Amino acid sequence: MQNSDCGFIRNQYTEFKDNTLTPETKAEVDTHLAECHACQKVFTELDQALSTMHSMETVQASPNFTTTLLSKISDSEPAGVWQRLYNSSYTKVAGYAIAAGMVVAIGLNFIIDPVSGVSGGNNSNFTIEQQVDTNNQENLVGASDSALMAGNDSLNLNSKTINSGSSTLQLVNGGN
Amino acid sequence: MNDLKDKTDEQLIAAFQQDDENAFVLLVERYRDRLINFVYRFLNDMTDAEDLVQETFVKVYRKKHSYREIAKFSTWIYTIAGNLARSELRKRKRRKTYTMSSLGYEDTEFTPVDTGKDTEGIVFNSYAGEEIMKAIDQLPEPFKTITILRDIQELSYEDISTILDIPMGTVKSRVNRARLKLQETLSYLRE
Ligand SMILES: [Zn+2]
Repeated sequence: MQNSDCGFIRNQYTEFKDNTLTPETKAEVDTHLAECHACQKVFTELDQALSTMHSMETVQASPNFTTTLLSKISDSEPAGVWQRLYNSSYTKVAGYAIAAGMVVAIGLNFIIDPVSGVSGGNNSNFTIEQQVDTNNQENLVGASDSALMAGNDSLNLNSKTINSGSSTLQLVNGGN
Repeated sequence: MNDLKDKTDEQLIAAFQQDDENAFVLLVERYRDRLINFVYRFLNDMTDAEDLVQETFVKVYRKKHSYREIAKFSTWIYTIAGNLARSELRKRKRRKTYTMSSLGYEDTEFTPVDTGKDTEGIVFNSYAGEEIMKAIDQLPEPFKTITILRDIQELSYEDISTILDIPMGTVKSRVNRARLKLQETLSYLRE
């Protein structure tokens, strides 16, 4: 048993099991296994582990999974889809409250800053709209968040180009 | 909706991008169990797994326009789910670090079916599912993901190649390396 071969032999485990080794390599593995207890142990333990893994029970989504999901989505729909928001009486109240708040804020601005007059009011109005926009963006960013970009491992799809057949495709990460 | 059922994932997401919400529901139905199985093996907790997969779909819903036709839909959604799962694991690890002092393998009490150690390597007791899950939990990325996809979910090399967006050859060699790592970890856990 040549110990120097053990690493090579173990690297063949998967292909050996998949039956994709060349006859020569397969014979080499067979010969080695017949002599090397250490590699035999590795192969047998892996066989056992794999058979346990293959028989692990699968889990299923609970029956109300989709309903719960859809209600989560409609409850937390980011602002901006005003029409949708106004369809629900609950959010209508919230919408009126926001609108009232904006009116009060604009009004206050006129009262607090009478000198700059109309232009001051316009600026202020603009600021409020900006704030609303910023909030919306925060919602969206919250949805994409750092998690999607966290880690540099194999599953990470920050903007990357994939060549798929003849077409080159641009994959863009969710955090746009 | 019947029409939609024959569509590919990519056609469904395209329809959803055109605001067809039925297409979204179909994608949820196609992917919820697969993703829950995937994420469950990371988190080892069914409630957390379900929550996380819901979060994944919420992201898909909100960020539907960030999907580009370039990639397979499966690659995209597994990426989102996998990143969320890993981020959750990191959070847990941080929490754990605060509550307990550095615990190694010793803190994980697992009970092998039988601690029969045969150094000659002829007779082995089979591994219990729990024992395997503990070992998988110790695997570093990317071995953990590949082990779950290949050896638990039993996906084809081709599907894994699509999901992880890596060449088939890389999938195969990674699968083997992951298995050897797993075996090492299992032996370690049994010592
Ligand atoms: Zn050997």
